[in-house]
Amino acid sequence: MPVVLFGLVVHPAPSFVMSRAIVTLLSLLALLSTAACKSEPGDRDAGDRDARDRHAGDRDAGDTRSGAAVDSTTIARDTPAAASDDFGIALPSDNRHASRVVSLNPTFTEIAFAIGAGSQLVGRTTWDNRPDAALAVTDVGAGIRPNVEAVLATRPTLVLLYATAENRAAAATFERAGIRTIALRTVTIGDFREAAAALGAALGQPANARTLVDSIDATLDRVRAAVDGAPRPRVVWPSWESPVLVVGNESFEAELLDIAGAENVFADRAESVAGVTIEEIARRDPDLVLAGPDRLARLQASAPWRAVRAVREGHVAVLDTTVFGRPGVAIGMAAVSIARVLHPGRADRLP
Amino acid sequence: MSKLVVAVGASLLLLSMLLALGIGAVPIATADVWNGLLGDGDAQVIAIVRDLRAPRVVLAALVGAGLAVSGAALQGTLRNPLAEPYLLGVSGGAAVGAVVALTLGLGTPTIVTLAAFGGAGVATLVVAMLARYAGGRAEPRILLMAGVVVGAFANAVILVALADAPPDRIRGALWWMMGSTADATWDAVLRTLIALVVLGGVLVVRARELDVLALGEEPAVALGADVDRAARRTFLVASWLAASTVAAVGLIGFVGLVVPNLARALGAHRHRNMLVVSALYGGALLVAADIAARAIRSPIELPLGAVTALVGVPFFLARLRKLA
Amino acid sequence: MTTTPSLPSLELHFDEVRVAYPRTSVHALDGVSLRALAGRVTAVVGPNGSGKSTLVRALLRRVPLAGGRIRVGRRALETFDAREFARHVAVVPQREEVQMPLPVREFVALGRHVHLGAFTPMGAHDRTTVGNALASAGMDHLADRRTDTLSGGEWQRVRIARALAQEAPVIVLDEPTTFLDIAHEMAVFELLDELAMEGRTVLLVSHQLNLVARFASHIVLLSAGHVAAAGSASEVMRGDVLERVYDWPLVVTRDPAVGAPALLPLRRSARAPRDDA
Repeated sequence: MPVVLFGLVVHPAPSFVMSRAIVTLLSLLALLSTAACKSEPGDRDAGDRDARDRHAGDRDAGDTRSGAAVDSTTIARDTPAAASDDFGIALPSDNRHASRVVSLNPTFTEIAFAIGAGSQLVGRTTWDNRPDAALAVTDVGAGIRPNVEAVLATRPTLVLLYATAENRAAAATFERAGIRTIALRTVTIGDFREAAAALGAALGQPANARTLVDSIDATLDRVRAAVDGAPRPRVVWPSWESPVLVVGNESFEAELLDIAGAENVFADRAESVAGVTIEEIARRDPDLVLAGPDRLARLQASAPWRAVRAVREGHVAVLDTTVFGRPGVAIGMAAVSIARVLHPGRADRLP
Repeated sequence: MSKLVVAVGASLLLLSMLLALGIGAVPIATADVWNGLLGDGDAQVIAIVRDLRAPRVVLAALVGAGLAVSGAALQGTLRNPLAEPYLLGVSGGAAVGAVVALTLGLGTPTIVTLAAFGGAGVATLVVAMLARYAGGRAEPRILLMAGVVVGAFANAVILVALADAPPDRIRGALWWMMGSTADATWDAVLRTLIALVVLGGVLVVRARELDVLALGEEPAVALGADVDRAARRTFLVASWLAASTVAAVGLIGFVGLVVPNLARALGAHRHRNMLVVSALYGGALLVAADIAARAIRSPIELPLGAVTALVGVPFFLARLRKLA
Repeated sequence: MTTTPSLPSLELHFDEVRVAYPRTSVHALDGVSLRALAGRVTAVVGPNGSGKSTLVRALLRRVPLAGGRIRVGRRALETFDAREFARHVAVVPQREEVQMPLPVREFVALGRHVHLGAFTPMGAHDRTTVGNALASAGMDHLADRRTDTLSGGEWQRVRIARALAQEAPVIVLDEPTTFLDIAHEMAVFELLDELAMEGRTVLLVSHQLNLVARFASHIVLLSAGHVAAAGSASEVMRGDVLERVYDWPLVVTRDPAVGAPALLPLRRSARAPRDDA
């Protein structure tokens, strides 16, 4: 922060300058690293998602080549759970550790309940609010940089963490305390499939997990079929206004767009969230702007955004933001919802 | 000599503004830029030029002028060529206001602007009161120390606010603190213009008093200046002028520090002259910095505060060497 | 000689003035009374730390009075605001740094600040006064030089010119000849003499006893915050008094060419005096 390190100094001016210069440069680096900010204001579900550092070695089929849109059909559906999690720790192949599970990520909590393992949960994060049954589980605080003591107080046998660098210390602490951990990312739909498979095995519901994934895949296939052949509009999906951030190519939103029959004008940006400028969006001239109702209202009222033709001419589409916070069990319905918005003429073919 | 300096400054300002209007992700020919300003031609071009580029260019000029004038007045009052508005609690207070608003999710531009200005205003008053409480007089040394104390306290509040804010709001808060004209609207331009004219006007009108204050405490008293009142008034007006720029574009440092020294190096010593020269060159400098912020890593936009810091640090080092 | 419009005559009174600096028990001024009358040069002398500069600071109200009063004419000092005071009393402080290099003429013109409002530009009368002030101080040939190019002596005299531009009937100077050589020192004292003859009240703080003896009509000798002696040069410049106050062996002589007592400090050490014949 530019004002940090101001502090008590004998000669305020020189060290103030040095500190500010250093901190400004650090802030610059932080800004330029990819960070996810996909929440609409008020939607605190996305609070757990943070900077994602992709370790290329951990990904195989999920890797996208920059410049190409994500094509989720290339991801093998029946891949058995990878042998290790996204921190490189071996995944449990059975449910011997699953008696008392703390889930530190909303997606994992959703999956646990969806596969019938909800009763095994003894802890969840503050933002895990789906399904309703999850609210009865003990709230242990944040999912990123978790309150380790609060988690340990529930005497867990297994902790499910979101795989971000900020959670490595917590993971190590749990391991040292003899508690098994599983750390997974949930950036793409492929991630979700792998997470479901891994959790199915680890929580003792492998069959239910397969069923969950299959039903989601079935829905996605139906959406793909429903919009097949329809012209694919070019869209931009802004996720933040100050700074201007849009959905990039390495994200489940990008995959949903592809499945629902659209082209992301920023498909060349191989990040989950891309920092751009309004003028760059204007230059790429998307046919349609997608966003939640509050954001759309602001964009249409904002003078600078009039530079984007789609905003100026009112080619905007409202998204139901409750299903788009994260790739959860409702991801099939999310695809349907986008497809309806993009291809109203094909509504009768959609589930 | 000074007429030449003023003329050159005005030309630089005008040229940089015209240049900035022509630069952006969408390539627009110069003639089309001009037509776009006038409202002729492609609707897209008009929207880009009038609603996107023009407000930010004008805002950059106004903010640069405001910060430079504020810095010049403070350097005169504090008799210290290294004084700048941010040393006296303005930036800390504004950042507290804006960051608290942003982390509470009240991130609409209007609220953030008001919160930033309110925070800066309060911080400035606290500094003035602290100085009065500590020494009873608006002495430069006491003002500076009070400013440092308020700044340190503001830091603590900001860190607390950021500590348990959701990551996306943290990013928005950081972005605000790094300074940018990307969110410029004509409303913001109007507000900043009013502040510059009114507050800057007060400073220019009272420029002779600044000359007298700059002589030193005893000589100033001997020449009939009410040193305490004058110093306090200048401090408040200059700080509020800086606060209005912070409210509009976030934290942009070094302009208030570097430009008045540049003005003095160009021979403008009497404050009436120096304030005008500072305004012109400050505006030109910030517009140029804005061009750099957009052009260096296009299409990614660098934060404006970072660009001015990159300019300011070498200048500062050079000055340190001269002093040593 | 320059002609100035006649100024009202105004006296400066210090009545039993007591000043203590914070966190010290000893008073810097402990009941000092003196009067500076119009038309003459009044000088305050004394060793270092006797309170000479504190008098000036008290006059400028940079230190509060612990007792006593200061009067300008019939009015108490507290009844003046800063501007009014500067129109009546012009003070040349002891030290001043060149913070802001300006052409000498503009620098001297700052003395008109007290007469000009925020919106009033300099008028003909202002410019004339500035010109006269420069001439009186003998600085008109340097009017277009920048202040940071002046020598120490020129700088001092330019500051005096600025005080003259204030057009105040009282002028107070704190050690105005510190960096001046013989010629410039004499020039300043002669200027002060002229100012007094024009009817101004001149109060001078100086450690130059011999020059003070020649030019001042009234001398006040301070010692550790008290008035040790006051009166004409003959009354004050006495060997016994001065030796006690300055704590140094000295002898007072009188040279007919000079017409005033002169002070000669003697050597304390036991070595025989050098004999340079």
